[in-house]
Amino acid sequence: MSVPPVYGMVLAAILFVIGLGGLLIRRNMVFVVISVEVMLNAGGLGFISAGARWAQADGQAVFLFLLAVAAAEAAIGLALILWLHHRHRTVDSDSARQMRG
Amino acid sequence: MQTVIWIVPILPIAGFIILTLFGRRSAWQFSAVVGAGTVGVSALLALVAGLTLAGVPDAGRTVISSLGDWVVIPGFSVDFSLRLDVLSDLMAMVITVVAFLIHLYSTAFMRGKGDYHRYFAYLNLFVGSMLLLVLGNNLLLLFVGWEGVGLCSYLLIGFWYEDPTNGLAANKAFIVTRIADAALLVGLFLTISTFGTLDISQVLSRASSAGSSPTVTAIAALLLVGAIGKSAQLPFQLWLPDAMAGPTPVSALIHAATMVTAGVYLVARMHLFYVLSPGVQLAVAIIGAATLLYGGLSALTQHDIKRVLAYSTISQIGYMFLGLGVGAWSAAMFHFMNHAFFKALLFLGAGVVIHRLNGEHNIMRMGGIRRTDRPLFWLFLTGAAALTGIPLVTSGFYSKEAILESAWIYPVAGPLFWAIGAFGVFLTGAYIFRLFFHVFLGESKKDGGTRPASFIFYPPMILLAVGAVLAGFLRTPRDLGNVQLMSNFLNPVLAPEQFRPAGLSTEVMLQIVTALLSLLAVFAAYLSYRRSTKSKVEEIEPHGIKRFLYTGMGADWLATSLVVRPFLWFAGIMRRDWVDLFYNGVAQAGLLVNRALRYTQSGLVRWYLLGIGIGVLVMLGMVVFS
Amino acid sequence: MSLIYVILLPLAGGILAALIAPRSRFLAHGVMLLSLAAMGVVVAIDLGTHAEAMAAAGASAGALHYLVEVSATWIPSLGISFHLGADGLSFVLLGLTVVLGLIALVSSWRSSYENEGFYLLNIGLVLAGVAGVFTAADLILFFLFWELMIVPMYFLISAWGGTGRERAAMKFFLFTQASGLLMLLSMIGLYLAHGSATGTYTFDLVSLSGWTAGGAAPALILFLGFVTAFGVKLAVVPAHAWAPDAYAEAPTAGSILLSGLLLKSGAYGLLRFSITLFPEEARRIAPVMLVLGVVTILYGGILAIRQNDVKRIIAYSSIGHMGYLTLGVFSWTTLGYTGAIVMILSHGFTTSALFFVAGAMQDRLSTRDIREMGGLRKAAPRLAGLGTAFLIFALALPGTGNFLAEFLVIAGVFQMNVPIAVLAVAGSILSVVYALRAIHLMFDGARTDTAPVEELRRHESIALAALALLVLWIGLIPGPIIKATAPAAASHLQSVLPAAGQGGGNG
Repeated sequence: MSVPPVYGMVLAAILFVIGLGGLLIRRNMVFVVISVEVMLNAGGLGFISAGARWAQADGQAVFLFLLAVAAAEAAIGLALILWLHHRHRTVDSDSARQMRG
Repeated sequence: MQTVIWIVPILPIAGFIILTLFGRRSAWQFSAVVGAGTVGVSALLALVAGLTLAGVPDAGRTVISSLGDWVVIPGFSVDFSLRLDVLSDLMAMVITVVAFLIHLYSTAFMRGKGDYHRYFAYLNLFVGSMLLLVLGNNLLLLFVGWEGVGLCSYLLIGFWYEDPTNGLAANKAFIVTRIADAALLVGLFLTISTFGTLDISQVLSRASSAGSSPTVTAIAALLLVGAIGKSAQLPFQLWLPDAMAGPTPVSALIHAATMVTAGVYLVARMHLFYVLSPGVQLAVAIIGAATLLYGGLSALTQHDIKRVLAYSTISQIGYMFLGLGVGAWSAAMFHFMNHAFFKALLFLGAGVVIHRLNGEHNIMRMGGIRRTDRPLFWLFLTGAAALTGIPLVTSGFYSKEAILESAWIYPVAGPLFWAIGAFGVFLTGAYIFRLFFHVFLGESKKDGGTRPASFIFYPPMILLAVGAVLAGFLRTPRDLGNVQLMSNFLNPVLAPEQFRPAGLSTEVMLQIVTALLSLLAVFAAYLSYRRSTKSKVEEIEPHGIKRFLYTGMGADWLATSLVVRPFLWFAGIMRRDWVDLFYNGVAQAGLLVNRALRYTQSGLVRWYLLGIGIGVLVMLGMVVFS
Repeated sequence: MSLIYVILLPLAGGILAALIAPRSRFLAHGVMLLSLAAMGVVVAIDLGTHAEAMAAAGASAGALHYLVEVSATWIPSLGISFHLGADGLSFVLLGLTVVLGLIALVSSWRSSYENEGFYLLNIGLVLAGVAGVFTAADLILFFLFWELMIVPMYFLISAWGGTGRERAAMKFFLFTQASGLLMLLSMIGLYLAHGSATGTYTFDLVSLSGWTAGGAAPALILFLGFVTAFGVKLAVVPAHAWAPDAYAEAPTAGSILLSGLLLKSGAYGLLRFSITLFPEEARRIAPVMLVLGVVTILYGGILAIRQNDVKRIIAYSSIGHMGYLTLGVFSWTTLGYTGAIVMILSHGFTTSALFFVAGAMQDRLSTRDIREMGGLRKAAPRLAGLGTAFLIFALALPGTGNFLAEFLVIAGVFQMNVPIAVLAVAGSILSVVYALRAIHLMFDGARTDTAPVEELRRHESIALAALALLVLWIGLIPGPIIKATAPAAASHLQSVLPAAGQGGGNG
């Protein structure tokens, strides 16, 4: 007896919204990157659930790709944070803006 | 042989080209010889042509010479062809002879006044254009000459360009006549679309076979507007008094003897159209009568010697138009010829007076010329007498008499036209002898004395004076010899008179009345002159009715406030190019939108994200709820 | 092949001049001059060899009939070919291109610009583009040349113009580019419509000209795309707004090329493309165009009267004259059509001479404001004399080509629509007013500034005198031009009139 795929989807949606909320609320770049990670994984969960629902391997294949993407993203994101910290002595995302409309 | 006619207009134009190219670098004698020489040869040729034409029977008195095509388009063609007939040759003779005399006079008059070669170049171009105008066999060629003389008039009025008022007078002359010419141009277009050609003889023959129609009336009216513009008739008389800003010989040639009579020529040339449209012909007579009164009255109170003569010219051309209007075609042309002689004489005389007095124009500050220059006194007296029409001995008497007789028998209000004309005779005598007495009698009012005049001034004036007396005997009334040389000569083109003559006794009565009026005018002028010298009141600014007449009945004021100012106001408003402002507005609106949208590009990543989130929600919502 | 040389010569001249200019300014100008002269020789030879054919073509008028053609496959899969063709009209306009190219070159002889190589290159490119426009017989090729004119002109204005040059150049570019894209859309639309109706997808003008889109609404829209592009180029009110700024701010040579050639490319496009491709729609739209034409005449005239910038006076005068051109094209009479062609030439010569004079004065006085001039007749009689002469020509003095053009145009319109013709005549009064005002303010009076004004140099006088002679020549001996362009006139009128019955209509 397995968990119905729709539960997985709902969980993915909740995780995604949590990630998005974090992204919108937090200005600390470290938390921004964490929120992005959460959202990516929410997406991955969605793919797996969908793959389970239609009994297709594609969902899991995409998740593997996602893992790679997430790793790359984390590496680049952390590098950016380091650069930001180096340049502005802060990890506040808003402080980095140079466009002022 | 026939192409020889072309030499007549081309010679002066060649003179113009030579003077334009080489005049600046050559001695003044070169300009004088080229300028006067080319016109002199043209004059000789025109005279020879005139004698030849007089010797052949009526039917052979038209020679047409074509140099080839000008514009050939399916459905429309114009060629370069000249038409020498009695009317155009009469004009050509008068133009070239008077022009030659004035060229001679100018060779001395313009010395030391600067730009000698430019003056003769313009004057030659004028003579060439004027000849093209009268000799052109189609209306387009005529129009080329018509605008050409207008251009030369403009250039010569503004000849002394260092004084900006001269330039303004020149602009006024060109613009006013050009407005009238626009009507003439529309007349030409109407002629093309009605008759399919601009060839004068074809147009006339087609018009006569088609008979009168509204179109013919419209063409006649449109051509008339052009004619009164060029001839400075009401309401286009505005430009002529100001045109006196040009050198005096120019005023003599262009603004008295020749160009301003181009309108008379045009109406005479197309007289068939006016016969076919009696309403327009009546308008011609009314305009002529009104203008002769206007000019005569306005001339009465002028101070500037040249302005008196300018208003006089307006008035005398009014006589010619009256003559045309009452169907006295050849009488009008007769008056044109006489007027060319005596008015040129008067202007040249005025030029000598001005020259002697170092540029003084105001007759109130003149006087005593009789003592310093006796020949000039007699010459000017001859001119003034001819202008007034002193009976029996002057040409002006005979030509005005011929016009007034026809006016009397004109079916619509004939006696009224006669009365206006007769009153005009009185006015003419009054204003010209007022001028004459002020200039020649009394004591000199100048301290500096007078400048010597060149001897070259006199021969042209003597010849013109001879013309001003003798030309009158080319045509005399029935009771005074009944010479009809003039009307016989013009017979092939212009019918002698349109209307039946009145009885002989009536004619004699009318002649006596006008003769008395002219003598009375001289007497009145003398009385008024005596009174003005006795009263010793220095007339500075005329007032009341005098001021009204002095300003040409406020015509300039009227035109300025009714037409010029509103027009300039409108042009001033339009100047900003409202359509362009509209596009600028579009561009400004674009910038405004840009400014608003720029605020969204804040650089705050989280706001972008919020935008993305909302966008996704909206799209999902649309998918779910559609 | 000669047509290819006509396009390649100015192009090659420009490139060579650009390479030489850093070393020798004189040599660069010489190379450019030579290439234009060679172009002139090619055009003259073509005119000479085809004179008889032109006369013969008059009899067999009908569809588009080229005297010289060059054709090569280019992108066959899209129906695009490298197809050049020229008839009498094209040759006459190529002649104009050569003359005005030379004049533009002479006008910049005296003033040394920065980066002159690039300047000459741009002039060469514009001339090549214009020559291409006058000969292209394929829509895409035409569009290519059309763009080739615009871009270098943009650089000419924005790099060597007056104080407001960037704005003016941008305006010029936006107007012409936007309308040009509309034309491209129309071209593609026509290509698709023709392809789906007949099965052959082609951009070739000759193949397309036989086909009528059927007078339906889409055809009207396609037609309007073309007319917009050409109308903007012609600066017909209300699409004229780019012209005064561009003329005023462009360097003298730029103004000459703009008014003398680029404007005329609009007229040529109108004649050769819009009307050939859409005779039915052209006839339907004619009343509107007549009204626009006369509005342009009056609007240009009124606006010229109160301008103080001499180049703006010439610009608005030029706009007014394009109104006559529009009237002539849409009068559907041989008179009007011939008048329009005469107008193309004489206006090209007169206006470029006027810009030449204005440029000469700007160089000498460092101002374009006519209120600050005055007294030039005394200071520089030759400059003032020639300036006066050309302003008088511009007000259509009889005897000049300008008069003949206006006369024929209005005579043509008069047969179609009397009120519009009368208004057009009234417009001619306006030109007298502004021309005389300009003459008076610029040349009359005494100079307040005592510094001497340099007289026209010899080469400048010769160039202007040559232009004056050309204007008079067109006015007095228009026969050769009328003969050369008569076949084009006949074919255009025939394409419109059989369907039109009496044509025109009362707008």
